Amino acid sequence: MDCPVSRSVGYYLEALAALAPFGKEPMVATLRGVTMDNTDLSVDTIRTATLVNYRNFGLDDGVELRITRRGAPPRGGGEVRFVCPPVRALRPLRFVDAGYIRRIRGISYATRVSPQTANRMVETARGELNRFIPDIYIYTDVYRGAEAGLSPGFGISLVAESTTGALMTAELCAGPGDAPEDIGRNAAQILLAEIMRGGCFDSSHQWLALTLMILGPEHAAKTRFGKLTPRAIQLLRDIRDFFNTTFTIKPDPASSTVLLTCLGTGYINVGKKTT
Amino acid sequence: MDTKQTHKAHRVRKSGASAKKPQKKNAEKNNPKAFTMQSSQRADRMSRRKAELDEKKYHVPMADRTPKVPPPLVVAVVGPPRSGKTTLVKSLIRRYTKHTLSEIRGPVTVVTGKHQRLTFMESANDISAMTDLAKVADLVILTIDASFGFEMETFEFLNLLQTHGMPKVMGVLTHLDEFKDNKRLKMVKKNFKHRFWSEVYEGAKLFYLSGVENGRYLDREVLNLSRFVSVMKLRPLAWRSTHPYMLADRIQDLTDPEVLETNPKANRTVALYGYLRGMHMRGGDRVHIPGAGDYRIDQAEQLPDPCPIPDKERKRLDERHKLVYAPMSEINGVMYDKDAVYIDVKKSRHEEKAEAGEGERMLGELQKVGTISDRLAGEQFNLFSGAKPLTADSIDSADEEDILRRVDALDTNDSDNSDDDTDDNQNVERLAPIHTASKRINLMELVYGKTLEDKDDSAEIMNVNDNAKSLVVDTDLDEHKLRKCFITNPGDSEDEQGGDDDEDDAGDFEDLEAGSDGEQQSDNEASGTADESEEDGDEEENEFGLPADKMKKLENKFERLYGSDDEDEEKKDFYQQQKDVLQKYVDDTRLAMDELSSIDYRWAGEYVRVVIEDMPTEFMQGFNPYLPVVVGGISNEEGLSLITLRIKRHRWYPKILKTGDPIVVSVGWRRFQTIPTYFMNDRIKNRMLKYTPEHMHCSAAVYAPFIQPGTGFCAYHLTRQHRFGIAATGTVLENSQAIDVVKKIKLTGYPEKILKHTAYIKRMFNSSLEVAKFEGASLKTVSGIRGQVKKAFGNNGVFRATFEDRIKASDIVFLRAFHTIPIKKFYNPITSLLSVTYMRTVAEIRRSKDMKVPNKKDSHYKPIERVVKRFNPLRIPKSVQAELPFKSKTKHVKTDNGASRAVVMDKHDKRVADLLGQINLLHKDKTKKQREKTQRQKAEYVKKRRAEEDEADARRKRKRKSFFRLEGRNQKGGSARD
Repeated sequence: MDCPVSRSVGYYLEALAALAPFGKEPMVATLRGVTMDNTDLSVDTIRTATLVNYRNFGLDDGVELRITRRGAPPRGGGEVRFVCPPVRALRPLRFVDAGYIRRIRGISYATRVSPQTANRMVETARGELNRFIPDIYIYTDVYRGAEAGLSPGFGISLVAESTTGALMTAELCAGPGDAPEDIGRNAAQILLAEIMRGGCFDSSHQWLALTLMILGPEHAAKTRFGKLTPRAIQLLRDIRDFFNTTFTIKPDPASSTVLLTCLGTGYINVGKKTT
Repeated sequence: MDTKQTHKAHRVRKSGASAKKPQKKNAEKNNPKAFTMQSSQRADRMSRRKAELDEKKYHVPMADRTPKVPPPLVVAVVGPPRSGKTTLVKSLIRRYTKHTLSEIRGPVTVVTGKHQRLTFMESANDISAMTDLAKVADLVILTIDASFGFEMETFEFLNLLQTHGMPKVMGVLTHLDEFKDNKRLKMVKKNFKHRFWSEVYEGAKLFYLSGVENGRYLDREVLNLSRFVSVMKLRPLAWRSTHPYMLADRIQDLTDPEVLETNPKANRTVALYGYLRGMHMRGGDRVHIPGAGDYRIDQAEQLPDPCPIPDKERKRLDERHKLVYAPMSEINGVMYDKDAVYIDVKKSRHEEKAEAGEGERMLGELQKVGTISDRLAGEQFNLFSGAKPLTADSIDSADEEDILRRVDALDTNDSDNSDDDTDDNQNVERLAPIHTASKRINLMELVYGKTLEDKDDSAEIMNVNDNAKSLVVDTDLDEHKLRKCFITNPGDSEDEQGGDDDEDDAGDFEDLEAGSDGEQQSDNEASGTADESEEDGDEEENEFGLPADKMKKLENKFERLYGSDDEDEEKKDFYQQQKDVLQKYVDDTRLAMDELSSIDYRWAGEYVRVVIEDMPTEFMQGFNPYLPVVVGGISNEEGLSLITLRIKRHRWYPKILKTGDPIVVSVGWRRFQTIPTYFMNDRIKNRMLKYTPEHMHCSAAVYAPFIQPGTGFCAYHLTRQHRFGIAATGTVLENSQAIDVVKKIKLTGYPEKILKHTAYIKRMFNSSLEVAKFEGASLKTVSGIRGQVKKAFGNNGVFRATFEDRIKASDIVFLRAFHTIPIKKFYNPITSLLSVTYMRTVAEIRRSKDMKVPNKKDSHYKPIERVVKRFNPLRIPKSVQAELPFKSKTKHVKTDNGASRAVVMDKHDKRVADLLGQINLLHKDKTKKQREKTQRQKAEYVKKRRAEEDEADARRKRKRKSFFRLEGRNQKGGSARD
């Protein structure tokens, strides 16, 4: 599918990722367009965090996002392939312990610019993060030729993993005239701010947790968020209207986080065939 | 024989030979041979059998969601009319509560024990009522009239049970007092028992109720039955443990009388009362009431339990706790309401008939006057002169606007602020702490609160929210706090936090407090600083001279490396693990119930009042307390789709089912009529079947609401057509939006013009457009020549086709194709509690209209007449034959078949022939003798061998006997020594 370049592919992938497990057949979608921008999640973050977060809901293998081409704004030209198998029912979430940040991984990418840009971003990001943890590895991913899309651009996506498997993400994509060093540093600082907020899901994945919690079986699902984003609040209201289910939201002043509990609606993928 | 007869107890001999006889203690020791493996094959077979039996015990693990205080078990008493259902319920209620109910109407709830309550429901003899009851019953008591025998209702009900998750079944044999002959009675009991077993399961419990006294069964027998009921164990059933449901034991019409005054046929507001079972429910949920349809429950509120289990732990149930609750039955003229008990004082007859007095008449007139709001709606008045006249509506709307305006005012302040700020700051603003560390704000109120919801600019919020991620670059983060989020520095204990607050860095500073913290220390070790904590004098030291925390750490490491002592987790097999995981989910949910108390969930086990608005008036008008009213929750089972079923005609149903004949399907909570299309998959396509196979499964496509795959269903006709009603059973396979069921179609055409391998075919299609659709399709003639459709020729449907050989003008050309059958989209919920309208089958319509089955001449089967084709002999003209090479020339071989000629022998020949005959005879005789001799010898040999073998056997036996005699003596000696 050709996505318009006004929004990045992540915008469409978000909806697809929420729908895909409840299909009749495995979903295989190829999306073309802008793969990263500063409005929506970049495909790297979706690959390394969003889809990994699925494992908390019992979706372990078969979920795949392959980035065949990168496309920076404004003209895009990137391509990703998203594969997700269907499930009959999700697993109830019980993820309260956020744990400690164990390691930080990341991808620094550059298209149609000097390959050195990626390394420069890595350097400053590491410099910022190394004060806290030694286990950092940021891959550099430089695309050339046709794979590099139609526009020059670069950016960095960082994922911090905790001891219990909570993933904190941060990403920043360069605009015109941005220095790679600034991008690296700022991305690291965004990540630190995200870690600071705590919780089991970062602010950009609260929607995923809420949606899949409510679609889980009729058991209690419980999790911890750092701070409720306005987006999550709107989603909570929509969930109330649509599923007739509300969450109990309790602040935890000790860690300045929020505990959310709900009973799943017991959604079962009736479309999936049984033999 | 009489069941009451008691036998004399056996007396153990205390003297004499049998008393002295040594007690056999260990059979294995006394008879070792009996316990050895005698055959490896047998041993193998035994082990396999054992494994098989073990495997049989496994079921798919299911979470047992039975609440702490379980709802009363639903005991359905089912049986044909006049088989003693009511008598049995009365006897049981009398046994439990010492109440005698004059009439059983609707469910009767009884406290039967310290931990158990039962709801008795008698089943009406109606397939709809039986189906509904089969879906909610936890225990089924089948009453069987022994003097009459099993009736079809019983078997039908068993089938309904099986398809909706088999609950426990008990049989009760009644009318046994009609058998005077003991021997015959015994035989009847035995026969019934075995028939019952073959229908339910081997060893199913069947009770015998031998007679009726004072309108009840004998107390002793009812007591026995009640004891069996009380010790019964139930398995959770898949459908019921994932859906909330309620068997309504009281129904009340809450409709505003004023509304009814204006429109007596207005939809009613109905309150249904009952124990909530299965799962939790909430006001606003969607439910299905079998027989009435889908509804949204307006509110679900908890009421005090009318039959509570005594809260205090007592040795036995107190008399005053033996409650009975049967609002529909009106026990002793008492009616229960939400917060009151009404005693029905029967009016004497003349009072009822008395004409209404003046006061009453006035009251009645007053009631007829319309509502105040109705009257006010028409009124209007002016507040100020010249202003718009005010009406009731305008006041309402003005109020709302005012509120909205106030909210807007609040909002604009906020949005103004954020607009002024820079982009980054806006993000900061958005992520401003909503959690409440210091302020006590109710987050729930904040998220779900009314004021925020009514905001007009919700669209604006959405726009702001479009940004999926945070881009806050916050350079002045509290680094100390941040460090605590990392594994490299988890100083997480509370006192530690307080202590470290004034220091900038915790890593390179060590105080006594820090020394006592194990993880702090681990950090020190990691960063390479010398381990100094051992110097701490006040540490408690153990035998290794290590501080306690270090010791613990080492222990943990040891555990991790060499495994813990209790390896329960690892020892558990996969099955047990899965069960534990499921149990954990249930336990977690129980724990979370307190947390979720702010959301008004109604939990299973509570006595609940459910209010439904928009209930058709027929529900209350035609309400029959003998029919069960079930309220079943549906979460995502609404919306229609095509459903594939795996179906099998019931083997007792006398007919096969026809595609297109409407049938009632009972699946999940629902009962609905639908038109199935039967088909079978031949691995390539779904071929439509006109009729279901006789003894095989086939698939059926129906149009129905979504239903979970794997759910069992049962199909029957609404009007009883045969003695056995259940037409088919099966399971749901798939929900889909389209099913491709095809039917074979054979198009015929005739050659119009034949060229070499090409022919123009006519009368197969009507237009060139039709031909275009079939271009490239394969053709075949009757004589077996294959071909292909090429292209249309002209506009009248004639097309050019090529064949592998030249076809004849008399050949018929076939085109075999498949045609997709559209599945008929017919879904008709059977509203048996309202008024039933249903589709009739073609046969029913014909019968009602007295129409005959159309008799088409073309549809008759006629004997096939095949004319034997006679071919003329091949004649090749002489001139042609002369030209042919020798190889191809027709050969004329003269054969003289038939007449054998007589041979006349001369003298010499005759002698030779005679001699040869004699020699042959002699040879024959000789070989015969030889054969006889050989046979004799062989028989003798066999006889001899047998004698030898016998002798050897006897010898072996003797030897064995002596061996075991010795062995036995040895053992005896051994035991004596012991």
